[in-house]
Amino acid sequence: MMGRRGVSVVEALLGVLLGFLVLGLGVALLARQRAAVARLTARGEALQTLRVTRYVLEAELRVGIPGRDWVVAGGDSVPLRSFRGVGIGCAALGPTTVAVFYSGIRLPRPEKDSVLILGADGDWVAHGLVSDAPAPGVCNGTGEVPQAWSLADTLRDAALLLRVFERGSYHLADGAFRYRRGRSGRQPLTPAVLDDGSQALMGLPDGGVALELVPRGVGGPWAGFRRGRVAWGARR
Amino acid sequence: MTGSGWPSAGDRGGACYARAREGSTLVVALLLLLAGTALAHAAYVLAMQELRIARAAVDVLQARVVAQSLTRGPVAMIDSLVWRVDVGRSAVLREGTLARGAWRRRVRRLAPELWMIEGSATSGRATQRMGRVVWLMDPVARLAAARGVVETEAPYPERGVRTEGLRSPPPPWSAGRCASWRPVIDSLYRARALPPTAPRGGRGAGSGEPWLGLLDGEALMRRIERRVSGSGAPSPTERRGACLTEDPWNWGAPSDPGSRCGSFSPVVASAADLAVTAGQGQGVLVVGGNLRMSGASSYYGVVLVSGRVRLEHGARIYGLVRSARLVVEDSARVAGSACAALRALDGARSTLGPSVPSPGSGWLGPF
Repeated sequence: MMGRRGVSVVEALLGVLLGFLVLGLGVALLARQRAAVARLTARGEALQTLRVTRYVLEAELRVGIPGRDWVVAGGDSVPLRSFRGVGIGCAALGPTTVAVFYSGIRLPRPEKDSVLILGADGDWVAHGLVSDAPAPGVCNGTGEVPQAWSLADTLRDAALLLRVFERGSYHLADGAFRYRRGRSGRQPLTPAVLDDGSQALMGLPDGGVALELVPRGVGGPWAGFRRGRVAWGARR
Repeated sequence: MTGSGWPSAGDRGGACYARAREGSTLVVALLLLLAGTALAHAAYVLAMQELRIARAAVDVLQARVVAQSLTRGPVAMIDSLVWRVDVGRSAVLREGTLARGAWRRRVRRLAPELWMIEGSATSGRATQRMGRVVWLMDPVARLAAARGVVETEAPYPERGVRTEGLRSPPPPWSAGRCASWRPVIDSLYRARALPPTAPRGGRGAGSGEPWLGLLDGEALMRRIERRVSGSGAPSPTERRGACLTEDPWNWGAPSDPGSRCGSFSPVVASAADLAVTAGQGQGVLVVGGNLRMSGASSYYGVVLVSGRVRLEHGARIYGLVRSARLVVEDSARVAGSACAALRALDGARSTLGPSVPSPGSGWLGPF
């Protein structure tokens, strides 16, 4: 009886010890797992930020002309005309109205959009967009229904091409890549993972833009990703 | 209970205990397996999502690069379409397939000289379209844009400038040499006459540069390889029964249309002042300075000069002249000729084109 009781105590102690050991190992494993998950998440977010920033800036700046449609301001922002679609003029419906076949990433919104119009003389002139409405029965033969766009100013020339744009600006601020439409607030497009003091957007002499992003706390492996050219001016 | 105090296997409670232990093990094992399966499934779903995102990004990038290259590639094919595509119409130039999609290149004629090249590509589920506006010189549009036979910065009193032969072939050309242009000339000048002189208009007005459509002096000079300088007497040169087109002072033989150099109509440029002391020539002559023609020299075509044109000692120009100033001595003459201008501009299309990015257009998008 005594021997069995002693064994029970030893067994219990051993069990408790093993339990603590397993618990400790579990806690350590959990901690390492959480650290690994946090590191992977941070790297994933950093990669996503780098990818989104490059992709968005490249897509936006490539379709604009440096100096006319966008500039690099203060090393951390790019005010720009953000183009949203292209219309092909098919008929003048009045001195300020034109019928347009439009396609773009979204429909025009007169409350915030303007239009850059190519005339027959090869010049582009910006106009305010007042309203848009379907114009059935105009420019027949294509199977599409054009839009009738009313402009703020009188057209001085034929409207051959019409590019819809909104005013906005991209920023590297508060650890994230952000877009600001007009005078509204700067909305983040990426997680806030950037090192605030180390971001840079630099205008290049040939009209291109160099971009440097330093993810916060991510470290060396990202050095190769963080710097690059995102838009071209003279090379086009 | 037995005397030992431990439940025996035959006891009711012992049996329940054994069953309970077995049951909980199975349940725990199943729960662990389920949890493991759920974790593995979640990891698989996440991995597949990442893969889809990565593949979509690659598709978008691939489609965009292809679409962009389609608008950047050789546009010489447009040239052959000039007379076939009407303003406001479009035509598919080429189309093909990619590994996981397709591509298409088309052009739309926005205006007589303005074209939109559109490239579209599909890769996987991603479709990208890019556009570009280009300017392509059209001889008829250039002639239609003319305000006068001579256009100058400073007013010119019409002395020495004739327009009587505007619709006729210049001497010694036969009517057949201009037959293909006859309908165009008639349609342009049946209702209106082209004045002898007019102030310089369009983009080049006041610039002090030679201009042609959207091409400024620098763009013109950049495109013209045949260069001359100083003074000289252009004359047709033949060797071994062929027109020697490599000779920079061979500007064709307009006075002998049937000869081997009769159809040779080069585009010639001089970056500085140029003096033509004798001889003959045809085509487009661009001078980045002053031009002086003397010694009964003659030129058939379009003359674009940044400075002053001075004609003396019986020199003749048949066609159109664009310059800052013009001086014509009594024995010299500028004779407006639509046929000479059209033939010269038509022959210059391959040199001055085939396309020029429209200023300020860049890439067009998104569609």
